[in-house]
Order: sequence, then C-alpha cells, then structure tokens
Amino acid sequence: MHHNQLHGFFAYWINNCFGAIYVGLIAIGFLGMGLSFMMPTIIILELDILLTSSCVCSLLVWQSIRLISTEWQSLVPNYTQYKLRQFWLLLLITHIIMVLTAVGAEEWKILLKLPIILLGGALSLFIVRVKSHLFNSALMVFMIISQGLLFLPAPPLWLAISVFALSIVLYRYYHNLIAHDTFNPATVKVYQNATRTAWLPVPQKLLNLTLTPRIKALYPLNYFANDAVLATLLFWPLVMLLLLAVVIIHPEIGSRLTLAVAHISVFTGFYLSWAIRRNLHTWRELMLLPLYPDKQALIQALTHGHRLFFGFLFLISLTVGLMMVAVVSEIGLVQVINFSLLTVVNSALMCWIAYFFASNLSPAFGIMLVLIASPIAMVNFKAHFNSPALMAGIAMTALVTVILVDKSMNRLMENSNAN
Amino acid sequence: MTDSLLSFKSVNHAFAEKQVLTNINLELQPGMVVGLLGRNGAGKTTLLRTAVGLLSQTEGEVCLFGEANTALSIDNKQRLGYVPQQAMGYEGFSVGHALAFHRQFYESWDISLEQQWLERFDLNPKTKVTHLSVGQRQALALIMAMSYRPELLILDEPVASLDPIARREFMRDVFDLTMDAGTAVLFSTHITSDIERVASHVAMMKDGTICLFSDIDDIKDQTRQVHLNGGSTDLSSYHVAHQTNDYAIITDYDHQPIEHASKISSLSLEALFIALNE
Repeated sequence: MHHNQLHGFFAYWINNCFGAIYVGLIAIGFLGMGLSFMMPTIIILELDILLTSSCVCSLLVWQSIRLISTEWQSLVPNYTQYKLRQFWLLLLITHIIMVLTAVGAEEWKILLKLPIILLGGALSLFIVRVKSHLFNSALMVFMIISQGLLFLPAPPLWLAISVFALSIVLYRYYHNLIAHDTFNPATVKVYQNATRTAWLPVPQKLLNLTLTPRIKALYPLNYFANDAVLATLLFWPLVMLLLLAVVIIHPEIGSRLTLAVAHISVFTGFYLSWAIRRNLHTWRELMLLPLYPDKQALIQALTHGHRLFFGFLFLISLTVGLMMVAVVSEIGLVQVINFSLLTVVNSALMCWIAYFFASNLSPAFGIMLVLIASPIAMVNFKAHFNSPALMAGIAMTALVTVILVDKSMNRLMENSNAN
Repeated sequence: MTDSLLSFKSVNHAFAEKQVLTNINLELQPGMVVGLLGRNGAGKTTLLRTAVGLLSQTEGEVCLFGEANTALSIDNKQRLGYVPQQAMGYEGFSVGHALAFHRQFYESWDISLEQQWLERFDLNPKTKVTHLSVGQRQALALIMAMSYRPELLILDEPVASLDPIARREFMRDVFDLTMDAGTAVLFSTHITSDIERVASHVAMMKDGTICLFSDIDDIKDQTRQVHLNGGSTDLSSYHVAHQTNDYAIITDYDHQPIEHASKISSLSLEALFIALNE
C-alpha cells in the first residue's frame, strides 16, 4: 500500500509535550549552528551540537516508549515499519546536518565526540526497552554524560570509529527487536504517567525525597502540574549549578552560557503551562475538597501559586548567580540580577502566551518569538549586561509579564470549561 | 469442518513466576461470537493479548488464520481487528486526523461505515483525542478496528465505558457484522446481559483457566445447579464444572432425575458466573 511518509508526522512528533520540548530544543540547536557562523564569539558550537544530538536521541527514546506502550501498533499492517522509517530519517538527517556544520567550522573534536552521544542514545533505547521504569533515570544520566563531554578531551580517532560502529550495530539490532516484538505491558504505566502529568528527566524517588513535602505553599499549582512543578524546581538549580561549574572551569565562556540558560527558562515556562493546561479540566474535582468557597477563590490561589513559582525561579537563579560572583571576578552583581530576572521574564512570558491564546500552536509561537529575540538581546547584553539601567528595564518587564500571567487566569479557566 | 480463525492449543502463560494462563484450549470458527467472562485478574486480558501475539505464550500453540500468533503476516493483519482496554497512541491528533492516518494502512477501509459510526458515537472529527472522555476514546478505537470489516475481531471490554444506548447499539452492530460477513468475535466483558444478547458462545475464566466453554443455548438447556444432599448424590455420569459442599454445576444435564439431589435448577448466566466463582 502507498503511505504518505509525512502523514501524521507533525501530530506524532511535535504535538505532544515531550515531542515539543525536544523538537524545540533541536530547533534552538540548529538555529545556534546557523548563528555560530555569524556570531562565533557568542555561540559555543560544541555545546550546541552535543546538546542537539542528545535531544534527538532523547526524542527517539521518548517516542520509543510511546510506540511500545501502545497495544495495537504492532497489529496495524506496516505501522511499526512506517514509524521506524521516521525514526531513522530523523536520526540521519539531523546528524548529517550536525556533521556538516562541524566540518564547515573545522571543529574536528565534535566529530570525535558525536559517536559517544549516539552510543548513549542507543543504550538508553535498550535500557528503556528492558527496564521501562528506568526511563527518567536513564535519560537523566544520558543527558548529564552528553553535556559532561564538553569538559572532556576528544577521544582518539580509533576509539571514535569503534564507538560509531558499535552504535550502528546497536541501532540495527534495536530496529529488528522493535520490528518483531513491539508491545511491552510494563511501559504502559510509564507512558500514561508521562502524558497525564508532564515529564523532565528527574527520577521520581529524587523528587519525593527532596521537594514533595516542601512545596505545599504552591497549592493548587502542584495539584494541576504535579511533577512538572517538582521537576522544574529541582531541575532548575541543577542546570544553574552546571552553569556554575562551566563558568569556574571555563571563565571565558561564562557570559555566553547565559543564552543557553535563557532558552532553558523558556522551556521551564512552556513545560509548566503545558502541564497545567493538560490537567486544568480536573478543577471541578478540586472544588469538591473543602478548600475553596468558590471558583474565584481557586483562581486567586492558582494566581498566587504562579507568583510564588516565579519567585522561586528568581531566588534559585540569584543564589547560584551569587555563588558565581564569589568565584569569578568577571561576573558582577548587576549581571547576576539581570540574568535572574531574565529567567522570570522568559518563563512567565511562555505561561502568558499559553494561557491567553490557549491554542496548541501558541507554545510553538512563543518559543519562536523568544528564539528570535534572545540572540539579538544577547548581542546588546554583552555590551550592557552590567548596566543598572538595563536591570530596571528587565525588572519592569518581569513585573509586567507576571501581572499578565495573573490577568490571564480567568481566561485560562474559561477555556478549561470549553474543554 | 471449517478452518478456525483462532485456535489455542494447551497454552500456558506465566509472568515471572506467576502462572496467568493454564492449559487454554479454544477455537473460533467464522460466525462465532464468544463472550469471555471472568473476574478481575482472571486472565482475560492476557488471553486476548496472547491471542493476537502481543504476548508470547510460555507453552503451547496459538494460531491466527493458520499462522503463528507472533509472526502474523501483513495480509492477515488486514483481516484482524483489535481493541485494547485502554486505547492509547493518538495523543496529539484530532479524531479526524487520527482516522485519516489510521485509514491509510488498510486496503478495505469503508469510509461510509466510518462516518456512520462517527455519527452514532457523536464524535466530532475536529476534537483533539486528548480531549475525549474515556468512553469516546473507546468509541474511536472501535471505529478504527471495525471500519475495514475485519474477519476476526478481538475486543477487550469494548463497551465498559459506553453509555447503555451506545453499548446496546454497538452490540447489535457486532451481531449484524457476524451475520453479514461471517466475522468471528472474541470479546471480554463483565456485563452478562451483553453476552446473552449477542454471543453464540460463552467462555468463563477462573484463575487463568477456562472453566466453562459452551454454546449459549446449551447453557440454558444443559447447565444446571444441582443441590447436593450430603455425600450421597452421584454425579459420576455428568460433567461437573464446579463443586462445593452444597452444590455442583453440571454442563450436560439430560433432563433426567438425579438420585438424591435435593434440587436441580437452571441458572441465568450471571447466576452461573457467581456460582462458578464461589
């Protein structure tokens, strides 16, 4: 039978929270690759390509969970083969672009490190296939290792070739495994939990140990977004501490990493708003609890939860930023405050776009907006990042965006009624 | 004898060390509608998943259209319809888009049937799959499994989340389908009235075994609850499906008196199910 190879491609790969997060990060990666030729002092091509490659692999791991947790997929004639073709096309095309970019920039060590990411991706596919409950942990370890490669010397050529060959063999073996034995009942729960809540690569046990008992103040934000809030609050300081480590080891590239953090803060907002929109229809069940006298009281509590959430983000960024000031003389206090405020602006802006426009396309629109604005803003920041005047501007913007989120709450609730 | 569409021969299945299916023997011929009845955890879903090769049996042989269940050819997949208990996989799609996407994999997809079912279940093609209720998702899964008129339909609690009217109409359609096209249907359910309404056969499961498999008319005619009078009742000439201290269930009653039986009573399907599980 003739199948249109792109039929359902967008809906399958992008129009879900996780697909959107990874595809968004991959898009940022490719934008960065393009910009690296124009602004080589701002974009770190090695970080950009390693991050993009690990996002492509993570996207495949996520979609493999989806594939093997869906019972009927192996029974629909040619469906699995159709999806596997898209898997490999995505893997091949993205990596060919990455390799060509590295060759164009004569960054040979990237070519030597890329096979390690590919091997990590293949191993994650197998781990998730065999022990699906390790999905979060496997991807978290994979992401940390892939980013950690930035600080390690490039492997020798013979090792890179061997790792590449091993990766190809593993991907080929995985293809055969999935093509003949698709469904795995153990993954159903993993997939369902992920689609109902949202997901970041943070193991559940770590969340329970650290944050679950401590975020009652955010209620009912965590009722709707549950793990999304927890994971963000835990993931965010990890990202910031990673940034701190980079700045300590490579002080010369510290200020450039603010672009990466600005982008990650966009996804923090996107992630939170997506999880809330997905689960807001359960608000009537919340009203059955003796907590809120009426719907308006619930809206007010949700608004308050958002304000506190943005406050937490600011404080985490500021705390880690102040640690940077203590160890890196080039970074000043004003710069850190600007940078911390920027995280609030980005995440609040994403929330506002998602709540106000309440369309599945609005997050994509928001991401594109910030993607386009960030590099332009960074060029200016480089010159004026220590300016107190800039701080006033960003603080005002942060205030406005948080107020916009406040004001969009009623509209958000109206849309949840419509659903 | 017609070639069977589905056959289980001495099938066992175990998860880790737990035996879930034990010595399953079952055969489905064209036109048969088999209702699978069992308590939660009796092994119904495992049996259905094994039937279509989603799970490999630990021992025994399962054949679908004459092929091994785990190596089903593309041609035979075109003849098979399956609806899982929890239909997932089209998150991100709208109803119309999901159907259009699904349709391209089937040669004999009947668009008019699809439209008819969409109207019946009151599904809007523009609605996002993630916004559907559990019942609507199940309805969508049913449309996806029925619109190409498969020869064998395997349904895991297909009507559990449908409202009574939709459920009744769906069961009627299943019956029509078997009458028109000779489709065989194997469906699990907790609703005994649905089985009485449409099934030609019933298979009752208990602790991973099929403790009773019979033509639905034979159950009415030949299955009896025999109330025992101490240890003096002799049932050696009957097939005893289940026995307690107080009563026995026999499946081949010949309408003759049974010596020392205090009472012989016929059973509704629900009463039979409860008696077998006591």
